[in-house]
Amino acid sequence: MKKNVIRIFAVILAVLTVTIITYFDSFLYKNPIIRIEQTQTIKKDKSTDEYKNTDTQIEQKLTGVFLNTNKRKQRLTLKNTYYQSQLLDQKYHVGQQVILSKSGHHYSIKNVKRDTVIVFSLGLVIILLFCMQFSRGKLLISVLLNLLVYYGFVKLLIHNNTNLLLLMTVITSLLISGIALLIILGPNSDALMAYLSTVSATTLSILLSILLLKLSGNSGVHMELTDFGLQPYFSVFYSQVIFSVLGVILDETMDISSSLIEMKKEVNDVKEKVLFKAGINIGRELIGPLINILLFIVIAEHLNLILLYLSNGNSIGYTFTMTLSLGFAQLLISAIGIVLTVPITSFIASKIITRRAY
Amino acid sequence: MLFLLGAFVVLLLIVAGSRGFSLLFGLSINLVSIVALLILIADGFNVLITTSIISLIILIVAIYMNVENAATANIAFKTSILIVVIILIITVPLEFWASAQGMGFEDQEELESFSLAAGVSFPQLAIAIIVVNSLGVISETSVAISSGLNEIILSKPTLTPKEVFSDGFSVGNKILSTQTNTLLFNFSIVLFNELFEL
Repeated sequence: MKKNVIRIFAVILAVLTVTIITYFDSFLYKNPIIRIEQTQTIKKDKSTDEYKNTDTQIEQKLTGVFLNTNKRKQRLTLKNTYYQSQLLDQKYHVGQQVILSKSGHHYSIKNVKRDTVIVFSLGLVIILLFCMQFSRGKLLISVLLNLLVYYGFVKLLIHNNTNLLLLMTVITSLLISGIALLIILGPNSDALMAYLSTVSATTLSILLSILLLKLSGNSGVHMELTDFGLQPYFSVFYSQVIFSVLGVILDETMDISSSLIEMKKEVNDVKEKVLFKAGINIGRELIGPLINILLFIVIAEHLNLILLYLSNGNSIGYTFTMTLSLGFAQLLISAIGIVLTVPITSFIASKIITRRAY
Repeated sequence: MLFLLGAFVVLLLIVAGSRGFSLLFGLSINLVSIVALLILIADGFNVLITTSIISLIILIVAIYMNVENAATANIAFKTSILIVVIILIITVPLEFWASAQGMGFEDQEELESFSLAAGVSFPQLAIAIIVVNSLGVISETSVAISSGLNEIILSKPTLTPKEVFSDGFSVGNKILSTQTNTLLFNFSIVLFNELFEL
């Protein structure tokens, strides 16, 4: 217990140090950065748009001090206009560090410098995990490795043309799930078994959904509505679906098969049928939570856009078609995957586990 | 889309049996509540008050429908509310510190045809997003831990509170690892589009 307290303190100290370092790291940036020292509201304009939304446009005068470049310690005055609703623009506060862009002799605000708060939030997550006595160090390692693979995938995509997108996605997903299972379950037949179930469940649910969508002639699924209108629609849509489905199914198979392995260890002469039934029972409890999590993620992701559509006088039906139809199609495909995983994993696991002796 | 929905419902009922019905019911309640939330906010109701009322409804449905034992359900409900409050205490200051409201620079093009003076407070909406986003995870986790502990206590009534507490941690640890990949992968899909634009 005492050892744990010391460990938590060490983590807290490390997080604080790193956070403080990022607060003073403006010399690492190429763009000029100022710290705002004074703000003053100059003008307020109340306006009502054609959809009867009332909003106030506010102009503020900002005075700041340069933190980097050869203008260090010099002062600068800027103007900033924003709407009170702050969708794309924002109000600046005293003490904030702001990244500027320079064109000619004129400076304009580019963005808020957010590295300090991001590092701090990440640190907070790590501290909390330590407080919860999070014992799955392996999981953390696999997550980090997979982020690396994902980063490589994106890098490759940016440098190559996107014709191979779908193929690359498939290879990356095979790699990512392989790494995760190998690290978490170890290089043994358990990992192979889970891998087999993950891959077959994912493949089956994706193929099934492609077939169903083809049958219905893609009705209600507007693939051209991907953000930024990325081409080619089909590949972009399915690459997203594959990653989404894979993440859920990976968690699900690991949970079901590790529970079944444990059961076999406890009751050595367990029958194949009993194991299969137990797998289905465990899986049933997982379906609800996982689908719910995805549902809330899909909606929360688009909340801003939905409200913008609604407040711009669009009907509810049109708004949902434009913003949520793709997300919901993805959700349904994931949901099908989540459901299919239960019998597939239970079947494969019960077949393999019963043949083994512990 | 209807084909997909149909396939999902049929498969769910085959695999989950009667449990499938209550699952579908819970899902549709969640969906209806969220749509109601959106419409109310767009009509100019206060963002924070509406969000808290709707969240309470979602939590009540999620917990009292899935847990048969009334005492366990009460505990799960109280802890869920407590956790939402704690999450808000942690994240609201972070959100303001990061000025993370509204939409990013990269979305500007997409929004050109809109009147941006929407009259909705997007900083407040950012808080609503945090709450909505965490509701699913929180209610499920608190239900899982409370009912898991309930079963442990029923099978071994002699456990001391301290032992029960540490059992709760081990149940929770398992849940943490079951949801990590799901959350992470779906977050990376959100990034997918933005990275593509580079």
